[in-house]
Amino acid sequence: MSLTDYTQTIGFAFANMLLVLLLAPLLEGVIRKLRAVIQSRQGPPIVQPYLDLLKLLAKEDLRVTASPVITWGPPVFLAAILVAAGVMPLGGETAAVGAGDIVVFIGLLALANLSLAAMGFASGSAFSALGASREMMLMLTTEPVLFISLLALGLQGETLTFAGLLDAPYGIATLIAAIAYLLALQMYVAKVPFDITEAETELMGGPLSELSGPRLALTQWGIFAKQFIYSSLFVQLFLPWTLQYIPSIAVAALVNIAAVLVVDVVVVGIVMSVNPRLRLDQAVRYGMTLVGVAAIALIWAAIL
Amino acid sequence: MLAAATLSVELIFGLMAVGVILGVLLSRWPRACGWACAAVVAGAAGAAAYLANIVFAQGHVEIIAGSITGVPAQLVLHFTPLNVIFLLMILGLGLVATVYSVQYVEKVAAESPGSSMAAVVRYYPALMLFLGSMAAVVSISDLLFFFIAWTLMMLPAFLLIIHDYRKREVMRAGLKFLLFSIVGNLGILLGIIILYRAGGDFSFATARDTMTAFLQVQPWTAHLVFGLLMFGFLTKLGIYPMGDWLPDAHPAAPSPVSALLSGVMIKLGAYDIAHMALELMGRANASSSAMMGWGMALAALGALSVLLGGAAAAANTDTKRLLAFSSVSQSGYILVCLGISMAFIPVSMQMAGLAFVAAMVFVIADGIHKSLLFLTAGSVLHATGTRDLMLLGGLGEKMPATTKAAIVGALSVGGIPLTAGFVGKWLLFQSALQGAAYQPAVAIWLLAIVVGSILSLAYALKYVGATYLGAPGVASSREDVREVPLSMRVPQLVLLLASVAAGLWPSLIVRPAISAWVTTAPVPISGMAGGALMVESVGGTTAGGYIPPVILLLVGVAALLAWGLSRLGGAPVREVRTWQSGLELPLATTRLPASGWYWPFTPVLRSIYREIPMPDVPALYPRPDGAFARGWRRFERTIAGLLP
Amino acid sequence: MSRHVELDEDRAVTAEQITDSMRRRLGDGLLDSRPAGPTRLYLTVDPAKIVDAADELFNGLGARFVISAGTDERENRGGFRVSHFFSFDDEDLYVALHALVPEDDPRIDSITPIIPGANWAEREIQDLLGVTAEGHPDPRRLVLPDDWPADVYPLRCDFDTRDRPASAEGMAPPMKNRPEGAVMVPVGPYFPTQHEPEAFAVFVEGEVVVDSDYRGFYNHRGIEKLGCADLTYNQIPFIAERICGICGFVHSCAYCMAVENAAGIEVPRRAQYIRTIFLELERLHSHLLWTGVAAHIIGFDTLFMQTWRMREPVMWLCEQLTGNRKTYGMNIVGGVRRDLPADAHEKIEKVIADVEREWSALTDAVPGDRTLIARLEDVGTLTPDQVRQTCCLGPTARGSGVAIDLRIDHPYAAYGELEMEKCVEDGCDTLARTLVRLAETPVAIDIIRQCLAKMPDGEIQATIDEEIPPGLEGIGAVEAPRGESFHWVLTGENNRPKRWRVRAPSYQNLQAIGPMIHGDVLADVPIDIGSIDPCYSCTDRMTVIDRRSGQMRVMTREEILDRR
Repeated sequence: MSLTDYTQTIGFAFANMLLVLLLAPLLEGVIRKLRAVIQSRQGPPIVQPYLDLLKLLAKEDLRVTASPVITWGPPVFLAAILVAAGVMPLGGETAAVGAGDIVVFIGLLALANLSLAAMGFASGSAFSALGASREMMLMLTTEPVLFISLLALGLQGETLTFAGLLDAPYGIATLIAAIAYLLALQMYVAKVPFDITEAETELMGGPLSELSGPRLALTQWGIFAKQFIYSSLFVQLFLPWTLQYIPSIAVAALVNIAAVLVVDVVVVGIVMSVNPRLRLDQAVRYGMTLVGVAAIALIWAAIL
Repeated sequence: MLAAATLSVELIFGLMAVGVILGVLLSRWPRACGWACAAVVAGAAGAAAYLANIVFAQGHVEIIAGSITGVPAQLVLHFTPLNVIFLLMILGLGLVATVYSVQYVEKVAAESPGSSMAAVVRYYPALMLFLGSMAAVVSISDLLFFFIAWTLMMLPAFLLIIHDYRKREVMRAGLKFLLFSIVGNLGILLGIIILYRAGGDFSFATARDTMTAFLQVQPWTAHLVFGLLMFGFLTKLGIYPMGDWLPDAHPAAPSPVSALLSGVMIKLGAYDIAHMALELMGRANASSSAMMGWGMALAALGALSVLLGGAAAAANTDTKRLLAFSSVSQSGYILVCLGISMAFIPVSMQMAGLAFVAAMVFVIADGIHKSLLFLTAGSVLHATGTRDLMLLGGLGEKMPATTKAAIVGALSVGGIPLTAGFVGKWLLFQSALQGAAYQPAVAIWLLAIVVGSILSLAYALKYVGATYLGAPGVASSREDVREVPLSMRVPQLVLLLASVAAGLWPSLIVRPAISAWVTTAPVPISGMAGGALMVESVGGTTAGGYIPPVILLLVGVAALLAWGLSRLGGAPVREVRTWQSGLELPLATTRLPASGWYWPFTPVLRSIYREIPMPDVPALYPRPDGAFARGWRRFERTIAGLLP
Repeated sequence: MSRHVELDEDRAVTAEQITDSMRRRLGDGLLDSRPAGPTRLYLTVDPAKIVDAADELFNGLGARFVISAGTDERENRGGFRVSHFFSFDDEDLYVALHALVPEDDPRIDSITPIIPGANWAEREIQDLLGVTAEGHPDPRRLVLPDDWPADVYPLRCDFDTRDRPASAEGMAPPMKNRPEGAVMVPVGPYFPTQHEPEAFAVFVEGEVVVDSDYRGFYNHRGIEKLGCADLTYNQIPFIAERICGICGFVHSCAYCMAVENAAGIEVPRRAQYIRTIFLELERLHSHLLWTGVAAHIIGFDTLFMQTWRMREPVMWLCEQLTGNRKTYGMNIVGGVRRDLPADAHEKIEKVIADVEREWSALTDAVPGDRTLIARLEDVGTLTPDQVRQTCCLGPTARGSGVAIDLRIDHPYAAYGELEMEKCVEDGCDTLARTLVRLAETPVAIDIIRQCLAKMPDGEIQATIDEEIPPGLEGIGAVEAPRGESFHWVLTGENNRPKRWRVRAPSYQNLQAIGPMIHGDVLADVPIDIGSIDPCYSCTDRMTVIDRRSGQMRVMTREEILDRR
């Protein structure tokens, strides 16, 4: 890679990151609106998440400990998610070529989860520690589903780069992986019935319970961004026909974002409106089943 | 050049011998003794670095150091990039551990129920002998002398493990180590004897020819020999079930020794597996199905250990035992890599090489971060007197330097991007994915690795979280708990920096690993992409890419931007109490004990790893009036009488 | 799932049989036996024999323990009256067990060892009146604030309602010790699912509950104190209605029934029907409210929003009928204050028809919702024996197969003239309690319809010409949405009660939370607690008292801001 290539990679990655940073709250706003409609409520305006974040950024920052984990946890959490957004494709094209493949992508998301859990354990509250423990246990089932379904795709194209994944041939394994991914989407974005880590009525926000003001804003923002990433990855990898035949990358990116909104509203928004929260053991059992489904995809891809 | 190499070899072993003597002579003055030994190891490490320079330049160096009349064996020292990497690790980590020992052992000796001198004389000479014998194990190529060194290594290791021999569980762990090692060594011995009987002498070249012949006429003998050797080396590597001594022995030993056991000694098992798999089996023209069969079997064992070790670590509540189980898990990764590498030698050299490099990166990365973690656990033990996670917590404010070291070590062992541990995992996934396309069974190991890597995150977080974060526990809230002295912080810092450097600039460890492959491989291949970690698939397209500096730049800028964003609103900061739903209780009341982490998995995780039952022979444990204790006391008195 | 003590037809007991068997058991210990009509029996026993007497009633005759009350009668009788109340539900009979404890030695043997459900009742007497329950297994402070000084007993007559004792240190009752390896999760006093202040200390290992403790009564208002010789008979219904924010009508009704029972006042039938309609309207909106709250607890906010939307027209209806959404102000001793408006029938019909339609759509969906069932089934288990021992009530008992429903067992108001059936489930878990409430909602609608159809014309108030004489006692009990609301009134001088005792159903049901959550996981605890539909305001009978200073005060906005 030449210096120009590096500059281009870095530039595109930053562009992706900025885009996700700015659009993620919008997604949340749309979901909230949809939920309000299903609940016969008027609901807050779609821009409310932006206003919430702005308000939080200026609010008092209450700290229970001077631990650097609490100081640096939220920025690292947000940064890891944004960089994961930076290395993943948008609009059916991998912009940041070479900087990282799906192993790096998964690793960055793991870093995000880890920093959230570490913040939970650092705050010394039973609620946040239990939330952090739950976060890790959910991760034990969600990450394999995500990773294995991506690996199944990668195995078909014998590659772990996003560019290769986009070009990977479709097969039965793709379909099985898509099903596993879609069924796990709600777990990835940690919304009802899987908002077990935060579980307001049980743990008062779990790892977020001791965060306030700007720190809470960054963490919330990261959670919104994560939601965008997972939905967008589904569109990229499993609904490629929505993007593939669009010649202009800018138009494809817009279509991508629109598709993300549709996926989120149709899947995440409705599922979260018509279900109660599951208990951790029930969610884990569900996740284990999905790991099994994803494993079938991987083994299928390996055998054929 | 050969003369220079010979000189440095003589220096290494001569200095280690001097170290043993100094250790005995100076044992009345623990601190001086420690520094003297550290100086000796530093000299040996310098000599090893010089030797490494020569070896990396020349490819390989062979020194015939002598022979014994009447025995068909020659003391041949054969250096290639592969074993030089291990030699550097032995002496480099040995130096770090010795420096760390200085004040650690001083305190241990002062608190020892016997005379402090007796505690010292049982430590430094054994440590020097341990390092020396490990250096000999990797250097010697002739099978007889190799086996002698290998057996010799067991004794100082045993002495070091039972340093605190008055504790029943320590003695039990030591005996368990001894028993398992002897059984493993018997396997190796049997394999060597079979080779010797057929070939007529103990040289490695003859052994290889014998194997070639076996494979042609009586392949089952070849497989038996290889199996016996593997059994012995897997025992040392700590692979479940034959490596079950590990989770008991590591916590029992003094912490710097735990670091060496875990960071270096068990890795010698990996060295010998690589050595035998590639140079004995691989070059003996084994059929591709035999290679595939052995490789897959090893990978299966490795995957099992990844899961069992990870699960047991995540459920454990003892700092060093948790780390010991983590070693079982990391050894599993190494073995999965080696297995894949072996399996694919006949299929694709590039794939096999990738897996081999992954294994070497794991060896180096785990050598660094596991030593680092054991040292931090040692510092906590030194400061608080306990390894029990139920009593620890909240040490971050009292021991900031140790906490930072532990966080870096934990991130690396958890395989988070930008760390050395991630480089190993990244390479493993690259090779395993390509391997799965040829051999679907690899896909199953891939599943195990994915789950195992999440478990490694879980136990890494548990170690850091329950020890350093959150509300202080009973032991860590005591007034006298303070940061460890400089001579213990510096070794931690050195390993921390090494870990960070290897993570951010993987070439530092990937390049030596590649050159080890190139010189060791049955069929040498030309270089692999190094610095930016690009991997090409067999077909030629880019199969994976990872540029740590770019990721670092992105993460750094994003984190700084995020931090800036959080300062933008000028939000005032205020210290508050942890929220307890409106009650004001002692923080310890609402502290989640380590035993409560990771419900509902904990009970499951705890039951997954089943200890191998070992006959409990109370007669072997030192009773105050027992023969063993009497013997020890006489030994200690004699030593004390001999010294000035 | 059978009741702990089977009361067969031939074992049915009458007031005379009870007196006989008490006399056999206690001998001279039974000092007095005074039936008041067929449904009330007042016994006076020697305080030394109180445990025997309670044992005979509870274990021997199979009565249900209701509540205890302590009365300061030093002026007229030279001691403290301790009363335990029991109920024979199958025989429509309430039995009171009175004992007079001497002033100079205010101690009485505790009945909690034989009746676990008397735990709080005895501690309350101990806290408020200073009569020690000897041998009580857990004599910690229960009702008084953490800084209330020792030896100051607010329910004694010499304690003036305007007295403000100085704050004392070190009086806070200790919480149970944390078991080894467990963490204490403080569920309250300020917690998202606890809409009122009360603290459950839940000890969990992993996430499994191994033990728990309770500290409540943070907002004890001393309403009973106001009812003891301060307020007149007809002032109390309005304060009684404010005991609870949801089921207030139940309390004013039960109070009025207690006075009517004491003084022998006949309430006109039309008033009885009006009371019944409002009692059932209250049950209707209370169950709708609970369904929403329970849904919110398990994170099912859509159900929460929809049930509360359905509930709102009921509240509007009540406002049109009485002038208030909630606190109707209808009850008065001897009847009701206002008749229904002319168009009431049509309005009520319309609203309940709408609720019925939407409700049946909702209840049809519940059994098919696997996620919902998974969250509710087999959690919060409460066996019939535990129900009997802790003396649980209402849907909490009926969900465990213990069919106590006062509307049938002790018919009051117009219920004796109406057709209805008890809703009982024997799942003994949170799901069963939920299903009981879901089934009761259409029953409430049906009862309202019957009332509208049978509504007689006539007076709505009895004429009461003379003052009520002192020294009479009366019991009023109403099946509130959460179970039996029990009021006991002892008449006094100057047309004021001497003692007014209130026991809301949550008082007993809350004591069952410990066994209920034991062995469940933390995630189930909020819904387990929610499943008894706890009403802390009823339980605490709480004026805001600052817990730190014991001062009753209203904070200004500036003060609140200053406290930040």
